[in-house]
Amino acid sequence: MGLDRRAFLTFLAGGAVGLGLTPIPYKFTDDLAIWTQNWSWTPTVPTRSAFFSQVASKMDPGGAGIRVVSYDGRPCQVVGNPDHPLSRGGLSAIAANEVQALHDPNRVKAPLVRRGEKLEPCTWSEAMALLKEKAAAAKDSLAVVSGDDTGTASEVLAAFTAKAGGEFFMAPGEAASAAKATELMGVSGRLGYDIENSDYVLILGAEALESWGTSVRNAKAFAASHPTGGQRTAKYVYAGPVLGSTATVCDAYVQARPGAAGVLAMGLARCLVQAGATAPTRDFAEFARIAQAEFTPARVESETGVSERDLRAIARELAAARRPLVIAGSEFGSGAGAKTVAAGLAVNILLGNFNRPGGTRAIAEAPTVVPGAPGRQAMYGADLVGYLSAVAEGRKSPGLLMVYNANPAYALPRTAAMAQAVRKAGFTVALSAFLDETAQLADLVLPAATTLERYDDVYTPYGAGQAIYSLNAPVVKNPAYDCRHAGDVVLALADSLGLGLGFGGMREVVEAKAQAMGANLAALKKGEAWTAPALVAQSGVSLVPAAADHVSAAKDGYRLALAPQARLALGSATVAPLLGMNAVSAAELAKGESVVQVNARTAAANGLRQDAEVRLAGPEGEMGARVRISEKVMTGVVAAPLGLGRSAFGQSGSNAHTLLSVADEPDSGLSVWTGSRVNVA
Amino acid sequence: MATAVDFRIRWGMVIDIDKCTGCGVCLSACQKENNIPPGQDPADRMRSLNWLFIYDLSKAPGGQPEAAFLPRPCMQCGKPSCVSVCPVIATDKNEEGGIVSQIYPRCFGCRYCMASCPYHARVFGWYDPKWTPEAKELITPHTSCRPRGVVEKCSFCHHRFMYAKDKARVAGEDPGHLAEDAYIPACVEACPTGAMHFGDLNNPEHAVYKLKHDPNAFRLLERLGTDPQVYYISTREWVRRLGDNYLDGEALNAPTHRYGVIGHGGGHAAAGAAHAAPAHGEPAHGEPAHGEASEGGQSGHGKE
Repeated sequence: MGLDRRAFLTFLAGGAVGLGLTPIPYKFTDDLAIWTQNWSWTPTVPTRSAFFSQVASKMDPGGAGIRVVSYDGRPCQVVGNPDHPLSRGGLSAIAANEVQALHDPNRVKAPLVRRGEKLEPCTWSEAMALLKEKAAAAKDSLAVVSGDDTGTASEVLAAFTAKAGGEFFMAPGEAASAAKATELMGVSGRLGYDIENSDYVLILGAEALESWGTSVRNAKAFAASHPTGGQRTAKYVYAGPVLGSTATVCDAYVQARPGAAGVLAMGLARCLVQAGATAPTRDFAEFARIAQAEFTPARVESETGVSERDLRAIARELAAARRPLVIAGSEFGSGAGAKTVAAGLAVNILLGNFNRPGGTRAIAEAPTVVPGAPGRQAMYGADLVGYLSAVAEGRKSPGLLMVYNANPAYALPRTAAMAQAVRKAGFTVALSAFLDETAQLADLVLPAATTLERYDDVYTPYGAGQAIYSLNAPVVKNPAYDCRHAGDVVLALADSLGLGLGFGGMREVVEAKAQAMGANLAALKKGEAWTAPALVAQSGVSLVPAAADHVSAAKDGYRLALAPQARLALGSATVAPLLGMNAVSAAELAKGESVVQVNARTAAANGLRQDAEVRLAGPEGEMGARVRISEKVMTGVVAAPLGLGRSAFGQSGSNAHTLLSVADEPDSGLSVWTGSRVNVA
Repeated sequence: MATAVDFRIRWGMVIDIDKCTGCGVCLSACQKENNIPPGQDPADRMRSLNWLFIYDLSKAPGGQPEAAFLPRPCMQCGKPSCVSVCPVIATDKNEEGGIVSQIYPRCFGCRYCMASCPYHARVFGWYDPKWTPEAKELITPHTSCRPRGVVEKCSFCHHRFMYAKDKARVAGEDPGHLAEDAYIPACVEACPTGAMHFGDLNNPEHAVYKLKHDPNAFRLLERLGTDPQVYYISTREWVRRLGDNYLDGEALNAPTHRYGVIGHGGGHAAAGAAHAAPAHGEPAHGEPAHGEASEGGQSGHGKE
């Protein structure tokens, strides 16, 4: 019998049905999926059990306590530390990236020395010999910059600078503004904020839940006072130009122009004085007279955009609260100057909450341990932007400029001039973990250790409500690259120059610091934080410096006020979390360009359309961006993200620091740049 | 539509939108925990592999400016539309706890599940992940590394569920009755503002059991009947109205299911249409309408 057509079709159909009843096609599909995914370049995961180490984040300006999780001896992950008072188990986006920093592709892997136009690798002994030679030649023509607000490493650098007869600068930020404000007002100790115990928190400008001060701790305090599904126990009010991270969750929001926090605080002070508030200071009468005469509601409305009705309503609420607290600062963590912080402190003093629960506090300074180190206020005494501007203009010419944990060529206003200053200095040394913009311009780059590779410490970051000390030991057995702590480098340099500081390394320094404070060294080494609730009693506090000579916004032909936005997810002044930058928002970066936001009215007045490519131009520089129309931004204001356009790292977007323009603040001698203005076209 | 299974334990999340600052630490924590490869452009939805997105919500122009951030993990739906369409059962909802699984070695990348998910909770690896030598140093043991051509999604950090059960067994406790906070995903753990809560939605001892009954609790696109295990809370009606597609003037919906107690249901007119603009890499779903601008200098919202 032959195979006819019918039989053939029957066989095919029967075969298909039979095959379908077997597991063959399903198993084959399953195997196909498995084997087409079995590529050699897909990594396998580690298997060993986890090991936890506790440190305080040095990248997070708020010093959040973290637990670093290591597998197979490799730190891979960061989780919160529930026992640390500055984090309570929470994380900031930048603290979460501490392990990424360890393996950042932009790390400096070996010392680099400039030969012609290029930076070329050299050995540590060559680099240290060159550094010694340049330091010896420079003598007192030495300038040292540190961007570490919380570590004893800055004390080491400042002590070395003092012994060498050079000039020392701290990178500008809110801690610098507060240090100068307390100096002007005669306040002893460093300024703290007891946000946990306040029942009314008024935030002027400062992004207290994102980038200002101890932001993770602040957020935890906010969370505790706003239980989900329950009654809030504190009211948070924000005044600023953009409905950003902090304003979005606050209980009330008042629109106020960028850089207006100081004038707004003085307007509130005037209302409080009119309502009968006094302060036990010798110059209260003069303060009240200045407030009454100069900070009229008309001026406040003109300069800040806050109406008299709103101003008086806030003042009434402040006066009625049991434990009110006022936090005043820059919207993006720098450039506010001393007057803004001082005016905020003056309002707190009028409210009677200074050194009281839920109020502002004076926290004792840590004892200095490095011989010859200046006090904290002396460390913050000089203005870096003013100095580097003078270098750029040829009025100063340091023979040796050393920069640690700061990136003046990227993260300061007048960015082009700052970069010019780095180039013009006789010899520039960058003590940096990353080959950032400043390091690229330097003559010698010394690879600095990251948080997990070094002995370091964190003492009471700005904004903390009590004295807190954390000591970090290296988490990794061997550093990822041939790096050293900048403190160790400077200690060795001082020894080689015969300026010995009395310590063989940073480990000895931080242990001496812990002992000087009376902390339990063994507990500190386990990663536990040391706290001290004692406050510094005050006498001779002066209010007048808070009221006198506020810088008004310039009327310079630029149409829009600039509101820079800082988010820790985009890094800090020194660090860009490139490996972990998955949290950038479409409101910050689109199609490879920075996004600037204006509201519909501002857009119409300036001929701007959604998604249009524009150029922002200020007195000091310009940048390109795309427009996003958003009602989160106040009329007459353009919001621009900071933290993008890091050319050294090949990052997309533009650097909004180039738009910042500088004004001089009377009394304090600080440069301020929160009132920058731009044109958009 | 899959048939709902009545699990004794239903892990779920309650997200308090009024406390989310959009800081993005949940995204960072998720990336490290689950070996989501670095180097992606988060603004490019086609390439982004983030398991969690944060939507940027704005109240419509015209009144006082108001905004909110809405983190969106996988909803772990009670009736998941992704499960029934998967030809190879690479995704399923068959384990006590009610977490929708995703088995990477079984997935062959047809992306039916992505098309069927109304929440855009699933992502697809179009390209080989860039595991540079530096990035490889950061791989954690929790989640296997996926090649290209595979659909991925949030698993509520399912490995942490397994770790918690193991820990309970070692301690001689019942792994089927975990205490509050014995198991929480990485995003919830990292959140500094306490906006995210996690627990067993069926367990009266867990906070989420009470929170899901909050009068201001709602779920996304609830009327589709997917029965999500993620709840949101906002005291602001304009935010709650964004949770579903309401007609102008339509009241917030009445309870439609056994867990649904949504809004006040008072039949108030809409407080004004609102729009959701994308943040953190999510594409725009239509251009937001921009009408009258807010006045500079006027006072803003008050969640009194």
